[in-house]
Amino acid sequence: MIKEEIVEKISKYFKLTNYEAEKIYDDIFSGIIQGVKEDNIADVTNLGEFIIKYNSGDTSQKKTVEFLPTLSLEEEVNQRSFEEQRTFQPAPFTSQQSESNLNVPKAEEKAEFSSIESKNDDLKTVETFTEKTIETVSSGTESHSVEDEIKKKREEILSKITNPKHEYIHEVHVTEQKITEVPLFAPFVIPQESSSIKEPVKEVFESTKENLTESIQSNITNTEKEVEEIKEKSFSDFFSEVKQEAKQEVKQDLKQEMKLGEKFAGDFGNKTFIPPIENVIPPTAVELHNQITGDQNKNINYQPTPMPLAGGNGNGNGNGNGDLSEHRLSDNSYYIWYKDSEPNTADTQTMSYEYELLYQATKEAEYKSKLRIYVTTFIMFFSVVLLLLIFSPVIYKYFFSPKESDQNTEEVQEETGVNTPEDNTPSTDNQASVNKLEDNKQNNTPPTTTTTESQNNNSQPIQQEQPKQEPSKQEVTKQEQPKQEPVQQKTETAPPPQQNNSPKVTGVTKNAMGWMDDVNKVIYVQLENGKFTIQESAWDSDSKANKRISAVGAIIPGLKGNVVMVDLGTKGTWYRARFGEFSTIEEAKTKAEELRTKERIRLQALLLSVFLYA
Amino acid sequence: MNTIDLINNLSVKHDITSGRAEMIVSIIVERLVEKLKKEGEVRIMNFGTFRVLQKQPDSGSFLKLSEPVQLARNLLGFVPDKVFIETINSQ
Repeated sequence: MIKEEIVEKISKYFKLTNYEAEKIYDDIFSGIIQGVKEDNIADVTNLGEFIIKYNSGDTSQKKTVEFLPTLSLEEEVNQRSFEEQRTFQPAPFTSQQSESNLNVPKAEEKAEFSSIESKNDDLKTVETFTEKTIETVSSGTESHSVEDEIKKKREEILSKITNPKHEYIHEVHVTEQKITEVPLFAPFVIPQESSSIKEPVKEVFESTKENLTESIQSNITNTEKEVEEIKEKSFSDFFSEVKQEAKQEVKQDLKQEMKLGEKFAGDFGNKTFIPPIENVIPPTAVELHNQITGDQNKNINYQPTPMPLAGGNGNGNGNGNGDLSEHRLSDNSYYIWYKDSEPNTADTQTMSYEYELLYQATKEAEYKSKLRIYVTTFIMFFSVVLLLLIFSPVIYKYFFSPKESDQNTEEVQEETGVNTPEDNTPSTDNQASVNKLEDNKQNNTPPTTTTTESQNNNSQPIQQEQPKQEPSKQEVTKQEQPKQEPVQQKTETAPPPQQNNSPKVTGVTKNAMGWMDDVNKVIYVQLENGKFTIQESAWDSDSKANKRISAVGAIIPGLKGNVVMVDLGTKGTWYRARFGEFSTIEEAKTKAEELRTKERIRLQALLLSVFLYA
Repeated sequence: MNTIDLINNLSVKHDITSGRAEMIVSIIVERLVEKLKKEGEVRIMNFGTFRVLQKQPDSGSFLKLSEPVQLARNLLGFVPDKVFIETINSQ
């Protein structure tokens, strides 16, 4: 039975199959057995210890197992015994039994009284009373019965004081009652047939009623005052523990009640006392508590328990009504103030397991949501990088290359220049100046402009000057782009155009400096020996030009370069980076295309690495 | 051997987390105690029988009132199963 329950619970909580749960269940107990066998002891938390015990006499089975439960388990087991006593329901008490018992008095006999109708006109009450143990009333001496009754009640009160946590619950149904006519003691068993008991009991009630009416009245007024004082307390006071002051007040109340009880008991020759009134919970507080706990239904039908001395269920000293923490509802269920209730460890444990499962589920949901966010972010970033890669040529074209409008205007200006190949007018002066510059470079002497150059400058007012390129892209690629050399028509002119040698290559425009390739952004310059070289860039310092030559040499191994210095007067001194010597422009153009293509590939790779790193 | 060893063995053997193993052990102990409280006897196959033994109440003394008070007390007994005994006696 217990195995099935546990297996079902484990499979339900941990989403396991019944087979797996059953196997785990078996393994736990087999593990305990193995532990006992190996270590001679197995300590299981909240259960106890299994210890091996040696039998000296039995040779076949020397070892046996002794179980030592934990203190908590022992307490729970003893709690069970106490609850058994509380829930004990003896056999109903019949009239025949009462008659037989009346003749033979017995001590400590358990009985149940049910539906006792008293024919007394003054008392007119119908009570259903369940009592655990009560001593039967002796038929012979009425004083003895009353004394025994009082003694029994006193014992109950004492037992209640010794163990105040456990409350007796009595169900009392009162149909008709008068406050002033309520006896202070538990109702006696007065069977209808036993007339011998009825009369002395009636006399006892009448005597107690007359003697105690005044004291009851005064006691009621005192109790009402106490109730008003307690009602003035805040709601939080009922949740807090009893403070020292409150305890002192309770002690004073206890003394008063004991004195009062002694007064009452003086008539019966025995001492008794009324249990203290600890507190009275106002209905507003209980309604608020029900609102907090969610018991809304109890708010409507709530009826506070009548006061102990004013109640219709008896004397109020030992029947559980003295503790006003119990409140009776209209459906005969009791509202027990949890200030006096005990925490149930089993429920707490169950709650902790459920909370653990809920916590795990919440954590799992959080993890999934975070993972979803991460994956989405990564996909978006990756798509952005892909788009950049796809459109990198376009980006390069629009952001890294100079504007086309400038090139067009440059071409137009070049087209309108004086020394065009179509003019076929050789300029020996220009060629001479170039040669002179070459010589100056070799001699490390600064170039000087000739008078003819200045004259030509004057005669040629149109000067072509290209703007320096943007340095921002150069920072990214960590390659410094060359500055465009300001061109003067006269100072740097094209080589002497030879009618026969002038090549006609598509995509190349001839200007004063040479053959300009707009696609590859280079100028093909014809040297003195008739070969062509690639003027890739021009720089404002020698070091930059040399650095560029080394960079190009790294891109295209074997391509040799040199630096040519020119002095452009007001434009400054420029250092031209030239590469290779080619017999034709086509070869030079092929090499230039190769250079630019490799540069572009390197730039794209660098961009990709930068984006991926970001 | 204690509960931690039991939990570790369980988690290794069944490939579950130690937290789950601890919860399973706790559930079993809890249900065992509840059943014991409710019915007074629990029998586990191949392991043993737990039984609540009722003891006659002893008479103690309540010092405050210097009067005898009946103190009820229950004991918890365990009778090992035959398999248990044979296992621990086997070499």
